[in-house]
Amino acid sequence: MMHIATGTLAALDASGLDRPQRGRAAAHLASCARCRERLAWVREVRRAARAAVTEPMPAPAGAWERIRERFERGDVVLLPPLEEPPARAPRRRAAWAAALVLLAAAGAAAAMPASPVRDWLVRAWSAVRTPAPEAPPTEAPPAVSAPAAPEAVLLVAADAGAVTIAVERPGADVRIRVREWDGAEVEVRATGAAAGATFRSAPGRLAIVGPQSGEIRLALPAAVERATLEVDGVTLLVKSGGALRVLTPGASSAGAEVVLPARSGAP
Amino acid sequence: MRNAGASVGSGTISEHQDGGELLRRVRQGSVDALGELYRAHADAVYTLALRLTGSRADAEDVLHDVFLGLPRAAASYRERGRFAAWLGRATARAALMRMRARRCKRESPLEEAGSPAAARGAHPVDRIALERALARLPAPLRVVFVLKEIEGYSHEEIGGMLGITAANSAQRLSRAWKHLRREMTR
Repeated sequence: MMHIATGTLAALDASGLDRPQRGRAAAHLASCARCRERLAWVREVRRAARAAVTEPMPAPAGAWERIRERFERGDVVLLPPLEEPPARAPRRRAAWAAALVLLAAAGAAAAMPASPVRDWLVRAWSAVRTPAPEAPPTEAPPAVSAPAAPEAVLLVAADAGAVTIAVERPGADVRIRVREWDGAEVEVRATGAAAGATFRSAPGRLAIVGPQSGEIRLALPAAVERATLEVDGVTLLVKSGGALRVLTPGASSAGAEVVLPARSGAP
Repeated sequence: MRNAGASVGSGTISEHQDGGELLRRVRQGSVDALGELYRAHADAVYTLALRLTGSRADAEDVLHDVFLGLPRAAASYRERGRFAAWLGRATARAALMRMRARRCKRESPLEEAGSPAAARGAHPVDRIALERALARLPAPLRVVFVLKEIEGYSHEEIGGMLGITAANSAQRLSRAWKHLRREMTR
């Protein structure tokens, strides 16, 4: 006789099965003492497990004093974001699916030698590859678009679980933003004049030399054991495990980011 | 924490009090307000963290993370639901983050953690066997078991926390039950 798996019995007891599955399970349970015994065991384990919640274990003695000391010392911990990411719109998914179907159909049609779709694709491809004739000169001066802000992006891997980002000789108005992310490496994103700084890397270390202004954004991996941010040899911030300790005055928070002036005297 | 609500812990605290005024004071850096929240919820946070991580040291680290993270995390608390449930999610996520960081390192089995429930004799045999079996579950299965069977989250919610599908969460729960059965009946 085939028996019902323990997990299925647990789902049955928690109304986690659909109606036909429930019907089949009920019919089997009516004639199987072994599965009835298992179901009783599932209920007992569940009851005991939930009873544990109403009788919580006491937090370790002295834990509050240690937390209080760290709180007063300025330790900061960035908890993972609690808001759920917005669900992707079903319409967009449907649109992508439709586009893929159309693409596949177009591809199939284009493969046929006499297909009008093939002719259309050949003409379209030729148009793309043929350089467009130069536009006649216009009297109006060409519009000047704002240059895109320069940006330098680097990834720094930890060495033996540790990584150090060292900023050297920063300008007075350089700002450093720090957040956590799920990536495996430290992402360093320098924007504005900071993108023109000199970057020097070594295992587990990146030096950013001479950023004059702009922002340096650091994304620290949640999984990295230790990350340190130094400015001119002074440690401003340490991430140790899940705790982020800010060691400089003038730090503030913006959403999930900690914002630090590169120079402690800067606003 | 989610099943038991705000009355879990060494004291009962009203939703109005902790969801509103206390959190505002915590956001402003009041250590006294943080202490009040700690006294009301620390045991529940520690218990959940211990069940998820299977390690007393990691559970205390999670306790630190949660209460040191409260001043900033409180900014995202919109008072739409119960504070205890929100704190439960914060604890679960902090524990998962730490488990990923530590690669699920376990220290001592839960039965050595000095469970007062076992000492008080409430369901002594069941409780001890269950604690031991839970501690021996592979971490991905234990996390789903604790969140679903003890904390009462749905598979969709667990999937959101762990970055897996609801079906995958259900599958892990089924495997967790299978492991528990094997551990507790051999």
